[in-house]
Amino acid sequence: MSRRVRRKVARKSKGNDVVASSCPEIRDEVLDLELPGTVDWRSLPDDTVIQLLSCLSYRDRASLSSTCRTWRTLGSSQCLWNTLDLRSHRFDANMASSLAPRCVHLQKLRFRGAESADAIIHLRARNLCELSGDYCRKITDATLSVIAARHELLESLQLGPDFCERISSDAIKAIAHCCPRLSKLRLSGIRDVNADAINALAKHCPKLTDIGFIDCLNVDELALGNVMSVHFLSVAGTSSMKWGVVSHLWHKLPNLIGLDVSRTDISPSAVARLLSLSQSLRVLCALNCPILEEDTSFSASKYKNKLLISLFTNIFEGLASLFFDSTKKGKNVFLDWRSSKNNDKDLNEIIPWLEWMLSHTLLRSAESPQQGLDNFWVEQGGALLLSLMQSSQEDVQERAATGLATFVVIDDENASIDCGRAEAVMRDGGIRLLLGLAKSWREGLQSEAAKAIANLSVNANVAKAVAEEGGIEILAGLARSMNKLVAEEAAGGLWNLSVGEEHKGAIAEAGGIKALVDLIFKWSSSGDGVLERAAGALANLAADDKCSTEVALAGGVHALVMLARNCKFEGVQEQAARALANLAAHGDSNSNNAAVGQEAGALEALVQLTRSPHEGVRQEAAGALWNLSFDDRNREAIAAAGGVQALVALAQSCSNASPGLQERAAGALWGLSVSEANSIAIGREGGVAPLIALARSEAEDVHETAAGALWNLAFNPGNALRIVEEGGVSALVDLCSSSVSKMARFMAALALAYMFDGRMDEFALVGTGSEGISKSVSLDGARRMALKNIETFVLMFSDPQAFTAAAASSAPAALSQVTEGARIQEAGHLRCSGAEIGRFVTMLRNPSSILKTCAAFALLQFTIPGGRHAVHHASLMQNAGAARVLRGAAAAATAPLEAKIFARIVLRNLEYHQIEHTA
Amino acid sequence: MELLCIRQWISGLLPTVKKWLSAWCIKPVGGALVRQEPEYILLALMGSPLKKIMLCSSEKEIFSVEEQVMVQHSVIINNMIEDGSYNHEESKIPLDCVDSKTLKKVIDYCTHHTHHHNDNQEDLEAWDAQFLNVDSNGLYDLLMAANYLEIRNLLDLIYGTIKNMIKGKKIDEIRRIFNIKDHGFTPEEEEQNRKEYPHFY
Repeated sequence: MSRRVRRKVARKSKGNDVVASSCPEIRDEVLDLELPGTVDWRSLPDDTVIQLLSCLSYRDRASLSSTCRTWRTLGSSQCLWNTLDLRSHRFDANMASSLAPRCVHLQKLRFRGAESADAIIHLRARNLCELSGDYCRKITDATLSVIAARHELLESLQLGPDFCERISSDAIKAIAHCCPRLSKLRLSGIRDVNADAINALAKHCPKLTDIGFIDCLNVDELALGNVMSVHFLSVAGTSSMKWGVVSHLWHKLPNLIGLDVSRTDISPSAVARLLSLSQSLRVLCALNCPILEEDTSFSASKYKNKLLISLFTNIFEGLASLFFDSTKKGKNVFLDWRSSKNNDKDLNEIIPWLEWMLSHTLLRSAESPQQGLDNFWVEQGGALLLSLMQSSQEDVQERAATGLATFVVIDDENASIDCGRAEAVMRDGGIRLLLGLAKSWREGLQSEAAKAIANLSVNANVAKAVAEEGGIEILAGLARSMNKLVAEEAAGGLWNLSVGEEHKGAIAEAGGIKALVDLIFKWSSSGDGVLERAAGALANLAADDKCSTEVALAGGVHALVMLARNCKFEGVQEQAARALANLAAHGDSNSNNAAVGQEAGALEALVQLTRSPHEGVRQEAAGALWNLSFDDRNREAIAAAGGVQALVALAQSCSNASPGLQERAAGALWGLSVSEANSIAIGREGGVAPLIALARSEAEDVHETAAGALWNLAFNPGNALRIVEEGGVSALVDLCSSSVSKMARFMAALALAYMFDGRMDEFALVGTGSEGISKSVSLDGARRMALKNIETFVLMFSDPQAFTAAAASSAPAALSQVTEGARIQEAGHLRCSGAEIGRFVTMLRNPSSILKTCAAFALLQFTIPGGRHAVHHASLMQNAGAARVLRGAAAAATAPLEAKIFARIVLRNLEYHQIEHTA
Repeated sequence: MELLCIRQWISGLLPTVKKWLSAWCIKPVGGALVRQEPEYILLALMGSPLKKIMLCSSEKEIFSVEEQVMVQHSVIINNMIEDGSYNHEESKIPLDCVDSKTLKKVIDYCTHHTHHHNDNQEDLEAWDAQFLNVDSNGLYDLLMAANYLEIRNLLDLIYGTIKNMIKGKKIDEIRRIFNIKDHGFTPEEEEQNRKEYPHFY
């Protein structure tokens, strides 16, 4: 039975939830407070309660506030409601109205999505100063204008990094008219920012010092030259700027300190003019500007006290040289700046701005990989992101962590990451830093850090480091988070770490399995991403014997079957089916296989999934059915649930599908065909032809599996005839003679042996009328070809010298040598029924000496001591009285030497097993 | 009188810390107690290479602690030492709302974190986890003591623990944890609560 393990890099998504509070996350839940004490905690001082409330998520805050009247009052204290972060919540007008009484003094608000934006006005937070939103593609002019009109005290407005395509200059004008105190305006992806809008800002917002029109299509550069108040300006990623105009105008802006022109086509001459002419400018950020970078002769070193940040400058050194006494040189300039008691007022504005812009540009550059940045990322980019992760600005930290998660990924689909970059992150202490963030109490950081850890862990060395630094426990802890986004990324981390054998045990030990199963129950109705990742991680874990038992103990079978039955999302279905397949892959060592089959609706659901329009789902469902059919009762139940028809249909339709799907489709039919009744049904439903087609596949796994299925089918004479009629003999002969897989050759030979041991002939004669003669003619030809190939096949495993030696002496060593030469290692995994063993025993008396030899060869494979089912086969043979037949074959004068020696070995194997058995 | 003031502060409103401190700690607490405590005299006679300060629990038991340990962790004690209101010859700091058992734990915490602050993060966390392995009453006492003495990192540790305890729990479960029997809501309000947050119950 096969098991599959696959890795997957978590998909990119942005941003998350943060709750204002001030306490560290404790990893272990050490307290067992189920036994209540005698103290009434209501006597806690009010300030203590408020501090405690400030640590909690909104949900827990509401719960705690509803426990008693005293705390209810404290729960609506103003200081708890200065800031709101609604990004991980469904925020609509109703929720806004219920929050409104507490939001009179709300200062800061973060939200996500246009629907939330529409609800903001219902908070009636007239004192709001800072508003920041992401996922704002659909936010409209009308919404934004109303928000501006209702919040006249607004000082800071940030929308992005997603493009706000539906926002036009009209809304910006409205903002200018309504919000006279505006000091910071950063908008992403506006199509057109015209002169009217900018002039309105210049006229009505005298305090506007920080402007960002990022990734816009058109910005009126002429008008921007009129905004005298501006200190910091970013037009990063904004196309079609007239740099000639810019460089002749903007240097006249009297207060301009920082300018960000990253990801644009600014020319060296424009950069030079800005640097040389502007009196006030201190930092020009021009990362990833191709035209500037092409000019290798360009140097900014001659501009005293002005810093140019670009791909070809040493950014750390630049920052250090300009801002600090030059004793401190390292990759922690931002940190140094924070810890130093610096009184440079400009600097205290510049650094936060720079952090923000750098993190933005780095993330954008990481998202759209381009050639030629390799060196930059390894030498500076990774370290910069790590440094930014220690910023005091939360959104910068989050973006830097997202950047780390993104820049290591080369190919999202195949989940491959860049080793050099991953190891650069590791070398600079990134793992410890990320784990530190993952442990922080802020959920936005937790999820971004977990995502970065997840992606980096695709690299085995990083995964090892993560495990060594205690990362598995941290991720298992985060997987228990009440915040969906955090839980999702943590599950993704566990998914990637559960690849391979090294960390499965540690994940189980950290309670990860229980956490993942609980995740499925917790988000069963509303979390595509989190469910997919939890199921994916469980699938990997279930590949391990011990872990699979734990998955079942934690209720995993029920959870995964529930997903397979009810979840409509294909990614989830795929992983759930894969997990069930892996759970069922330990047929002999635990009872999960049977347990899955007994779960109500499980088999029906899997059969249904084999009809999914999504190839991955079909593949994993077929794989699960393959593994599950190992159990006798499951096998019959699958057939009863329509499994035969479904799987035959799948095999018929998969001629152009991936080898993985083809293999599993054939495998599931193989598994089902173990019982003759199913075998007959498969033949009747038209399963023979597609299996023959699959047996012709180039892919080893596919044709090997198809050969197994055909072998089982050929047991039935009716099917055997069908195989002949559908042209299967030549396919099997090809496999038998030339497959790279010994197993495929072996099973093809056995299938041919079944087909031509005489039973089919009887069937063919009885079953057909007038065509009988012509058929028997073609049958004869096929038979000759088959037997010739069987003979060649068996001879390949027979070393003449060893045979001569074995014939001459009865010493065990000689026989052992023959056995070693003949042994097909994987054949030990095959398990035959009594009927099959009986058929080979009968075949020992077949008139054809080739079939005699073949039967003895097969029985030898099935009884070699140490084979997984050798004992089972030996006892079947004892029951069938095989010993007598074998002795006959071993002694027969007419039989070929090989048959006699093989028969002697089988006899010896039987004796061995009998002694073992009685001992 | 002093004791009353302290109690009031603990259980009640939010006076500024400094003000209350100067009110009670300038005056050393009566000498009679010192004589009743042989341990104190012994320590005083022996002298100590490290500067020590005396803390007195609600049971009037006296604990002698390295000054540095408490100064580093407790804002209150740091302030007292800095503004000179503690006299090393005569003073001891009365902590009438902290019992001996809790005070001993608090001192343990501060001592460990002073002497082991260079340990690796994991060991420290393991130690913290073990340290907070107490029952609900014990946790309450520690919280009160940490709050009283203003030991910021211990407070954060305790808040973090409580946060984990109630994370995702339903309201009735939280009431059990905090031993809240009389919530003070009218049946109508309780019903209103249930309506407003049905999934929390």
